[in-house]
Amino acid sequence: MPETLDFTEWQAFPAVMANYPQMLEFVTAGAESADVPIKRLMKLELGFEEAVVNVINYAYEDTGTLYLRYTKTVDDTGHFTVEIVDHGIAFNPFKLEENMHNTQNAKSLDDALPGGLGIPFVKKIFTEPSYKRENLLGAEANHLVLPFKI
Amino acid sequence: MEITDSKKNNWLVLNIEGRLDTVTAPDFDKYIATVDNSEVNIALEMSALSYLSSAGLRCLLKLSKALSAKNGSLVLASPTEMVQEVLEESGLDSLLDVVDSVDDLK
Repeated sequence: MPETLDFTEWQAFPAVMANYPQMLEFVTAGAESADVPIKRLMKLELGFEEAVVNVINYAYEDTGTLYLRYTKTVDDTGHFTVEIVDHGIAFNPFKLEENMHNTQNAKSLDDALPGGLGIPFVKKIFTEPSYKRENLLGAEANHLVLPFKI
Repeated sequence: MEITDSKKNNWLVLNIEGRLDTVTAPDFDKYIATVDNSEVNIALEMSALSYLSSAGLRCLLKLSKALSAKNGSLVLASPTEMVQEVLEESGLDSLLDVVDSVDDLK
């Protein structure tokens, strides 16, 4: 990812479901100010929900913080990029998805499992979403980068 | 999210308006828990459902399996474009019955 992307400051949120609406509002407000078309916003929302709910549900055993930032404008490649950071247990959602998800291959209702439905959407909606485990914002972090094509 | 109900032949039709996402999914489950056990054929009228995420898909899957276990069925009627896309991309469109309208219910 180019280093010249113009990101907002990191915004911190307690990583609990009750704060999900504020997280979504932060990102969608940013997307609107970056002129992401209205008709694309719902797709962005879906991808963001799937990614961030995963962090809320699994990153921390108890409480913790989730950090968000986004690009202020759509970049030269036509992407609005959202980043999610947490300091929870090391967890690459894209690695786990291959093992968990089988609904797309399920032959019958009995075979379809309720889990693993979300991450495939993240992979489809964002352009090459990536995960890195690195020292960021003061501690070892899970760092998701989610470029959204307009 | 708002849910209203009506009857059509032997179907309980639930009209869902709004969003079925991680925030409202628990409300959907709570509502379903209040539905009489004898209602085994349920149609979800989705023309006013603007958004569906995997949390909502889980609700639909759970409900469909529960009804199937009672020899009943779940039908999704009039999904919006966004909802139809989500159903297709998840693969659930091949596992759940989808109709264009509640008028197609038999």
